[in-house]
Amino acid sequence: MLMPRILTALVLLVLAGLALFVADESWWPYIVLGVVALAAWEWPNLYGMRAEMLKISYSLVVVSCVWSLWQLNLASWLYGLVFIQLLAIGFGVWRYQRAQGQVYLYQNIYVAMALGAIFISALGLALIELRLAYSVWVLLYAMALVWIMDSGAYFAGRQWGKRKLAVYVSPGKSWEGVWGGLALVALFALSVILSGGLDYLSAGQDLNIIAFVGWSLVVAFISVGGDLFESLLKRQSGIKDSSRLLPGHGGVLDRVDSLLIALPLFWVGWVWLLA
Amino acid sequence: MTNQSNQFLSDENVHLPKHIGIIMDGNGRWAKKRFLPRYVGHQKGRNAVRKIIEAAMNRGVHALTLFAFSTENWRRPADEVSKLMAMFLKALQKEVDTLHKHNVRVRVIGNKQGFSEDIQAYIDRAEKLTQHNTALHLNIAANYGGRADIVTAVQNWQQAHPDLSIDALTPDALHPFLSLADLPEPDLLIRTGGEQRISNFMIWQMAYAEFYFTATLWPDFDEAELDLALASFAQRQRRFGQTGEQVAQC
Repeated sequence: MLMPRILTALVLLVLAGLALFVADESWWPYIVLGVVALAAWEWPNLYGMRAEMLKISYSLVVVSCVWSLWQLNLASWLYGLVFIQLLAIGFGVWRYQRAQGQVYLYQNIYVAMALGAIFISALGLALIELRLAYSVWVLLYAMALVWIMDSGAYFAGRQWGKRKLAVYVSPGKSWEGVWGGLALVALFALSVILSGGLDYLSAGQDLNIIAFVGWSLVVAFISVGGDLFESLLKRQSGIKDSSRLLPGHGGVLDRVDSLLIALPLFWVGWVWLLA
Repeated sequence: MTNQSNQFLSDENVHLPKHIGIIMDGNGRWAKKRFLPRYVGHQKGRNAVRKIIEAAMNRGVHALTLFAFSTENWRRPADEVSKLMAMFLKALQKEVDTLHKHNVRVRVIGNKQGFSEDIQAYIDRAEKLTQHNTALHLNIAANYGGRADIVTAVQNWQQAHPDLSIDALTPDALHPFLSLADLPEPDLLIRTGGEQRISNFMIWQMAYAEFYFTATLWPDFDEAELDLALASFAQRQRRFGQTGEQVAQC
């Protein structure tokens, strides 16, 4: 199991490197649309829907959503999308915990499909906007926040984990893990500032350092919610992975679950941090 | 009649403007309407510039002059000015090679001394790199004012003809000393964002330009909007002071 996992990770790393640093910037939106297509194709799996025609049509619908939002200059829709995401995550996790897992949430097919379109469109649009309106470095910084949060939480949780975060949604997660992750994120944000990396991100513009660290922490914290949200949907359908596209890793959605809310949210803050 | 305008009348492509000037207005309002900071509007405006350059090339326009930043724009809040400058520099760094690849000649008109040394260096580089390109003449009016353009032209004329009295100065004599004298004069001026004034943009060169105003804010101005402007231009009869009958005979 470990070998395919590492191989897949290597292949993904090379592909990401090509997409971010070799391919011309003008290709980026189409690469993102490709990722969006795969993620949207997997979304019905979270509800146990496996009809291929349905999945493909749904994927096309979501791709055209992202395409239109991008072409029609509708980046400001991210405000609304993020708002709905936060509500859906907050309510979902809270309700599921209250009911001790004895409840089925977001099962109405229209709600389910709308949620997928909103979450995946928001991610796609944020991926495009963060890179094209700012830079590769801003995008990578936002993604690094999530990965660092993930890893910090994993190790801190294993070491000190006691108080469960949301035991019915994701029994492995603990508050101690969250604090550990946030501590590591704070360290990362500070090291970016101290190493002068901030200039790369802000392209020389003034940036409030306290707001920068603060927002990084907020995004990292909320990113756990994205993770929990996908876990919740998978748990309800009794599946472990969103698909088997990535040997050893599960599906595309499993890879980007924390990014679903984190990148759009980061965008909202970043726009104003630089203002 | 000067040779300049006869050249226009005899051209068979009279329905397509040879030289379009654009006052790109409305970025700030575009952003404000969406609860976004103003600089995001300028970013989106840059995307619109890309689109319009491509569209102008595809339609066979010879020259495109964009009013990016006027001498009066320095009066905006310092913060917005510095963001605009950063964006201008970034555009020079990132876009010029692509433009060169597409055989676009890039020039900047206006008082370049107003800009930072960084920006001046990149302007120089862009102009030198693309000086032999022919597909499209792309001119960026930055720190530009039309009155200053005329005054500078007079001064340069005087320097070139130190022995001549000012009485010898005629419009035709001044012409070669104005910005972009080697290009046909703008025959279509587009202004987005709803305002209907020329704002000191190439006031001499626009003497015979057709004006097209649209309420569309600049970030939303796309190929379809450009086609509307071109269609409007194509319907107009350009007479250059002659009667309609005279024009029809040409």
